[in-house]
Amino acid sequence: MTKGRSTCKLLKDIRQQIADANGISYQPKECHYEGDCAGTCPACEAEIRYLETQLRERKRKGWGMKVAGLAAGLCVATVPLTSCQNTPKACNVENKAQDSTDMPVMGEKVVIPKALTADLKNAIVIIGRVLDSSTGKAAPEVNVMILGGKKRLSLGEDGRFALQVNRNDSLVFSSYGFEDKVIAVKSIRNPNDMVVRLEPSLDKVGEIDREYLEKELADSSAPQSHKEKCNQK
Amino acid sequence: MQSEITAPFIAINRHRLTTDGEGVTTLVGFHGCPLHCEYCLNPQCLQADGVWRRMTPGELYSEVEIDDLYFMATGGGICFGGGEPLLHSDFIKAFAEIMNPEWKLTIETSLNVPLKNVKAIASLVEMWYVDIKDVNPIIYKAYTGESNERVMRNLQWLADNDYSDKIIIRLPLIPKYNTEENREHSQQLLKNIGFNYFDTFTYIVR
Repeated sequence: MTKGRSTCKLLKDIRQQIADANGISYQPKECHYEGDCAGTCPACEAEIRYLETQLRERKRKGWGMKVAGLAAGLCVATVPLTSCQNTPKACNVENKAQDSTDMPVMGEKVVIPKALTADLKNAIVIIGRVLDSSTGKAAPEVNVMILGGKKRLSLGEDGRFALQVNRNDSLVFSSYGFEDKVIAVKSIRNPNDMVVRLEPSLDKVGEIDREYLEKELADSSAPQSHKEKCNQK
Repeated sequence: MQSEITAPFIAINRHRLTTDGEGVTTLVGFHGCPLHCEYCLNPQCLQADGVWRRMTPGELYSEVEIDDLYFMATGGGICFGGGEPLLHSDFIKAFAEIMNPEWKLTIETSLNVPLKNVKAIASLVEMWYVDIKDVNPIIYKAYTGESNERVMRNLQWLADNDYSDKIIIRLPLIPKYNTEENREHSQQLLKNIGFNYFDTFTYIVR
């Protein structure tokens, strides 16, 4: 393999690692170019710009980023805030659902709510699941946080959750490729079996719009500082 | 605020893998050098028409920022070489102020510059690659056309200020100019000053 092609492969591997670590759908086009390669090309440049755009969007939503040291093994990657610290053992929750989890029946799965609030007086436990409204199946890679809060919880593959929240909170459910859904806790009718249905976003999911990005590369004036780059839309 | 400093460049080489420091790096070559080495790898840095572009720090940033994610993911960044990058310490300092602070800066230098140029950017550099040619002043003058007094003074300052762990001293075997014995003498003298990392290699004769 020529040096250029081996460089290209390495850079593609790095892009894949960045995408995988951040839950970004990334399917690079297979390269059939047979000549000698410089290690990069407009298609590869468009892919790295796509990842930048996706990461910027995540940052805007308050999600963490995992990039630093991903492919070096030297630096500690930046870990997104995905889980809460408090456990239900420290809580006095009035809700009956909490009582039922404290005394599980034999064979019954124990559900321990994740606390998204430190306010125990007005706390309530919400148990439910998040579905893809178009398929009825569990929505993938869902994140939930308090509107205006900082802590973010990543749900499992089954989309199920058990949360301890403040009655005055609003919950934000989000997943890549879906429209965000904001639900006021007070409006939840059945806190023991809440169902959240996320609507798919109209944007193309996972597909890199190369034509758009290549045009953007041609038209845009590149930023002249890191600060300017971070402020880009 | 963007600096109005500009500097002349001979080239930018992207996607260098561990040759100029850890991770993926972009080599930025400055035009101009105080030395006139017979086996210079980049002789265009001494030619009047060897300037590829003049750029401000902001314009340089625009050229290199596309590899931002690779730099961050691999612990890489920008390697300044040339030519002699420390002739443009003000530029490097201004660039460091506007670049992503997570990028690592490495320098490939002869160190044959005023001490103030070294001091200006010492705290910004992650790794130094210093090609000292030979510590013997007669051999040095014969090969480069210049005295190595500034080189030795700068090396002493760097060692005295605890930068030696960030410095790799390059010890070339220079055909027709020095011998293995000369090189061993150079290494021992530099060890006595406080340097511990050496890269021995042979110059390519074109």
